[in-house]
Amino acid sequence: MNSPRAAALIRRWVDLYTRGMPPLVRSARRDEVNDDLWCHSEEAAESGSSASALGSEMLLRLLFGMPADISWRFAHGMNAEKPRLDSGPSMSTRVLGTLAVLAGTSLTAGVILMLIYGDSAWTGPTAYVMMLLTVGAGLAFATTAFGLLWRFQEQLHRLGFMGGASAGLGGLAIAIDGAWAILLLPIGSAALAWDLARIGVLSPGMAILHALGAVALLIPLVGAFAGDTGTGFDTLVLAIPYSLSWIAIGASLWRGVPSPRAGSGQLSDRGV
Amino acid sequence: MTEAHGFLLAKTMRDDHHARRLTAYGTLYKALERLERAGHLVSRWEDPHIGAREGRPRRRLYRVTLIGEGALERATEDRRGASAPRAAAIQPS
Repeated sequence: MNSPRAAALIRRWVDLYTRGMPPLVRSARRDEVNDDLWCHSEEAAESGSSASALGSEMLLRLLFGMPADISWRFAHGMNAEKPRLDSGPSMSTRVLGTLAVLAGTSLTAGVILMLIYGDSAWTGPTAYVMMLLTVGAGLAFATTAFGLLWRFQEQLHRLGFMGGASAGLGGLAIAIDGAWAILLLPIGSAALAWDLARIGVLSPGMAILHALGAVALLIPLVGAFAGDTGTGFDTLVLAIPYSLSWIAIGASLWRGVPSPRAGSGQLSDRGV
Repeated sequence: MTEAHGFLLAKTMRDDHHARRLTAYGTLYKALERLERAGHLVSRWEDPHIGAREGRPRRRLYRVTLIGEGALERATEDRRGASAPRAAAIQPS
């Protein structure tokens, strides 16, 4: 890789790991790395190094420094001033929080019943309970996702908006047994959670855990649909972290969403 | 060296230690920030006009504080103390 491409990659990496940080901190790190890249290029030009040799060294400096970059980002995230929460969340946020908890709890309960009774959970005395839990979870997922879209429509980016819409459709697919369309739920909710973390509604850690839960669920789920094997033990077990993360999101919404801070782009929970 | 920017520090370390590569970006700037937070360094942003005149990005300059100098001396002494017995041990008897 030549040096301009390596430098562009490094700039993109800096943009990525500083995303969501205060603008001054972000621009300081970006400018410092930019100056470093400039000096490095100047030195290479003076010593007669080739563009590919310089590019390779830049890439190695990027790769070896990535763990430090990530730990630096996390340290800043943890030390950052906690957003001030309002005295209490608004009614709409409470409702969304309750629905998220309901969705996560219903899915967890359904999965536990399936783990205990296997496929007979759908035919034995627990059949009505399973049906209630499935339809209830699906509708609760859909309402929460569409509700979050409506609630934060002015702040969400396209990714979050599409994620919320997909998650809502995936929730409806669960309620009406929409087969593969249920895949939309974990894919969409991971994108939505990520964007909600960007605007400060969820913590970055919670968004990461939710995304990891979604990926862990998706892998066996996609395998089950591709092989037409039905939900196996691994799919059921891996659904639990995902559903628990919905409960955590609901609890977080109950605590309220951040108040506005000057120039920070944070949100208010008042009057909605 | 009174003031130095990140790349110059990395280059000095590479040359002093005969290393093959410069310190990685993440390692270097994270360390500099920690040293500044600990009071061993202070930094300032260079006048942006200087960078603009030379056609390069703005530059952050670091300077070692008195606390930093003290820490550096202690670290150097500790290193000498640690290497002296080792040097004695490998002397031919």
